[in-house]
Amino acid sequence: MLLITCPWCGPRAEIEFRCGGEAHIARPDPATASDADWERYLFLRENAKGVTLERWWHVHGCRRWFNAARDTTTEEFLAFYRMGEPPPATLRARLGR
Amino acid sequence: MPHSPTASLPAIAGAGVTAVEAPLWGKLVLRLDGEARRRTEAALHIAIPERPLTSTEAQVGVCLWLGPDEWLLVTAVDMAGEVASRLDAALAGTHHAVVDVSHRTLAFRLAGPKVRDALAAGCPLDLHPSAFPPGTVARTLLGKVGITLHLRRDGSTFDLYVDRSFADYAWRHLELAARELNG
Repeated sequence: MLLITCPWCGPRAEIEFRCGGEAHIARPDPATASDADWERYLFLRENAKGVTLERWWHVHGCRRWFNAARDTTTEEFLAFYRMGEPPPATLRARLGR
Repeated sequence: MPHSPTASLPAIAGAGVTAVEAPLWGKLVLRLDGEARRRTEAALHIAIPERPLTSTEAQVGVCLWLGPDEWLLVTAVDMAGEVASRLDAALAGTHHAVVDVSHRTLAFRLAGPKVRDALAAGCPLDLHPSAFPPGTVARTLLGKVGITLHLRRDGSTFDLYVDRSFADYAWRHLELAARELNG
């Protein structure tokens, strides 16, 4: 079982959460987006082996969405941060972006 | 009187843990931003808890933190309509929602020296007094159903709020755990 730290409620059991897939995917502007833009938005994901940024939903708690950085090889959570916030600076170097 | 889903179920009573279905209480879900929260506090003379997982009490009732902009106000059942009307007047023009959910959820009141053990049979929270002090409120799971758990200020009585249609499941879950604890 994973222990996941909700930015509002603190550490809670994994069964209280749902994973919402990759984070920070911006919806393109429908007025100008090309088919390739929509393909990237709808279908293409990092699927990283290593550190990945995800959205998580505390569905059986405060019912808020937040972001988390998880290493897909070790299941270790590296950071939790609220919706609308950028990934912590310490992670960006590790992510190479 | 509304139907009681636990009336025909086995009692939870003994030296370890006891539970009763609470009488119907008035319950209002409040969604408030900063300005609406200040006006609610002034209109109802109650502090709206800002710190996560905490609750406050005042004459009007008990206010439970559910989320960063969401609270549950528990009042006497015959007061809920009047409180909602007062809030509608006080909050006019602000970004808010006040929803009467008195009949959506019901509450069990649990007590006894082994009440934490009974809850721990289905609830993943750390219920030790050091992690779950009096006044704490948390939405979580009991078995497979969502509950809101509130430890009252006396530090020994839990109010467990559960959706009406899940009440049968939650009661039977607690009853099974209590059977062992009550010997």
